[in-house]
Amino acid sequence: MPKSNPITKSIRLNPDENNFLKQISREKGLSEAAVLKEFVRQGMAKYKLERAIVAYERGETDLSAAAKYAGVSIYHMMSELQKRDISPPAATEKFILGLKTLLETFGGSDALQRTIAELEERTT
Amino acid sequence: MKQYASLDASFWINVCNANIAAYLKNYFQLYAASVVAKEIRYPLDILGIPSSTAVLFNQWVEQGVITIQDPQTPVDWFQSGENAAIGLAMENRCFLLIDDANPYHKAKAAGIKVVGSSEFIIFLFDQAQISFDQAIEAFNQSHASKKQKRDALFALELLKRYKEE
Repeated sequence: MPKSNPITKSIRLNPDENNFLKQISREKGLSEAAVLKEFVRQGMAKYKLERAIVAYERGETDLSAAAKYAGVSIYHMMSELQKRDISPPAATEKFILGLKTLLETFGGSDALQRTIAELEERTT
Repeated sequence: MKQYASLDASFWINVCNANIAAYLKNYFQLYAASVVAKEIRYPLDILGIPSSTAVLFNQWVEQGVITIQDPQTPVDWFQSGENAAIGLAMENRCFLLIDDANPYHKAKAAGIKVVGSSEFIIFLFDQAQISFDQAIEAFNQSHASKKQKRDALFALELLKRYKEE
């Protein structure tokens, strides 16, 4: 794949932002351009993660695809979702049906049957 | 009798964190698509971190407990990822072990039996394979949301109460 040429972008900062950029540049020992580039990359990564999480929450994408889009591992995506307390749609229905499937396949106690019946009643 | 099951990364990560992976062997003959294996091995292969989740997965593959197998025709319901696990479950007419609820409706419509780690924890408690306290600890270690954990803990409490009656 041919390497694409970098594209130059210029931005305007107010004096406070400019002073802060100079300060960060000194602290990090990097040029102001390098600091800006790092911040843009971090901002883009954060933006992608947010978009992936919103899409996942709406049920528009699965976990793996969301992680791939955001450029993070599935471990990272699962932990982000947990941190933000996000449940995908249909989580409760899936849970009850999964229990029923296990009961029907491997058997289970009367107590489990009663539990499932009560959970179903509560969701309807 | 053991059931064939296609494993998804989300389920594997949660059962490993919950310390209940060992019980899977009692109920399932496990299969994993190579894309799923890649997701699970990520910390080890890409980051060089010997995460117990990835290490145990590799051990089970070496021991033949998990078989790596790719579907002939992966489904194209979302963009990628779980599609291979679902495709494998459809082709082998087997269980799909997955914690992601988003592909659930389509998997259900295709007649696939879907089970998540929360259900498996409740089931293990019912089968007296784990104690009530172990089940609670397993939920605490899972990556599920607070609502999912609340639902599961409610079911666990209910089951315990009915068992004691």
